[in-house]
Amino acid sequence: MLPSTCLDQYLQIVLSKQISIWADSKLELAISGVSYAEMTDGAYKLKVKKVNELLDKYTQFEVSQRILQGAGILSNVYKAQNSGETGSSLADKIIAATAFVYNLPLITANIQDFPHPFFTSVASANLKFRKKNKDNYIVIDVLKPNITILNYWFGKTK
Amino acid sequence: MKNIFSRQLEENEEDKKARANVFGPAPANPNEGIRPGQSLSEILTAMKKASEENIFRVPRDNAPNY
Repeated sequence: MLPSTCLDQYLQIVLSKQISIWADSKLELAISGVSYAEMTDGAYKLKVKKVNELLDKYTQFEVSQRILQGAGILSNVYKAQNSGETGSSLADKIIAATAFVYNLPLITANIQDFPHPFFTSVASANLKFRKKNKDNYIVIDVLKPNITILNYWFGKTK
Repeated sequence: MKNIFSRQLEENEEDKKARANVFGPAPANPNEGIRPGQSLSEILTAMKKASEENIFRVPRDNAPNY
């Protein structure tokens, strides 16, 4: 599952290449329905239509009642475990809950939004891109949700 | 649609029970709440086009979270 990070065009091109490497012809990428809001937050009106056209191509996980409740649970569990989570957004928690509910790996450039030990990195790539004639780097991680640990800490929040 | 779960993580019965304990019972239809998308190649083509059109750039003054 691919969270929508507000990537600029340089990063987007690099990320597309990396995803092509990770992926094989049988793999689909999916996004959470909340990504529509993330991607259009602050966007000009003219761009909103184009963003929607792009996101419509992805397999999409609807933000169901089950996932919304899951996002609330994650918020409480993060606090109970004191995971060092530094205030990930509600959208991040919705995306995290989606990964847990559907038991799917999650791709992100912001691992701090998906705190350890609830998420563990199983693969990462250091991507290099040029911007304003300078080399820049970004780390993209594939995270695995750990339902056993989440369930343990969920029990402690009751 | 069938491929979205091709990378679904392995889980045993205990994992399934843990998931149901935290998030409630899974829907009878595993595809419930999932809207099918297009192929990866189509997505990557669209992403390249979107990059060229610069639609990912959000004015930083208006995007405090970024």
